[in-house]
Amino acid sequence: MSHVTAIELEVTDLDSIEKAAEECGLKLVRDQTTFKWYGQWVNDYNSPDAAYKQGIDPKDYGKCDHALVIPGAGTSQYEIGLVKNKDGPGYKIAYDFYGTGQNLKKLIGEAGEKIKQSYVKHKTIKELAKKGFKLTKTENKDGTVKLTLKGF
Amino acid sequence: MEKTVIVTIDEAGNPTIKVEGVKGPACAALTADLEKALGSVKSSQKTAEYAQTSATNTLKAGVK
Repeated sequence: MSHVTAIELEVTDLDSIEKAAEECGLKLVRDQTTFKWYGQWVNDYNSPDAAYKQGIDPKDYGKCDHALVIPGAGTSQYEIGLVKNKDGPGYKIAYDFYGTGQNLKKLIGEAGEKIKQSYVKHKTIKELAKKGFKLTKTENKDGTVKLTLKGF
Repeated sequence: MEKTVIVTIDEAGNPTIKVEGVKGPACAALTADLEKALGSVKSSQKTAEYAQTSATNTLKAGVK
């Protein structure tokens, strides 16, 4: 089944998505221009989060600029693509959540929320470091991450 | 006062930014820069320091 979804997250920083991927058990492979999926668009996934409804043409499914892979996985394991936005900066996260894509879904969360949370965390730390802020406390409670950064 | 930024990221990955110890426009600029870097931000909170920009601002707020 060609169930390719695009996650609502604008990735503008590869270093932060690399760290977020690692936290989720994935590895960023820079400049990998294809990602494994069902391989053929059969018009069977049309929900609002379907990749084609997020600006990715079905004929471009499987094409990407960078990829997130499960390290050491077999050849049948699907992968995640970072697809450059056509109308702005950054990348979209696209992947086929059917078949072996279920393994990817488990790692990044039902709607990609795990990788999204981790990305936002690393991006926050990086951005505030530029302004002289240092991370002094990280709290995890009820699925929420609270970062305290201090500037002197 | 020590400058502190507290970023809370909920389960869905949406951040809320809170800035303490940074007055007025500098606080707004810091928040705006971070919001821009993060892409989408659900909401940001203004703390008491924000009101300390100038007497004029305080007065305007009072008139409303």
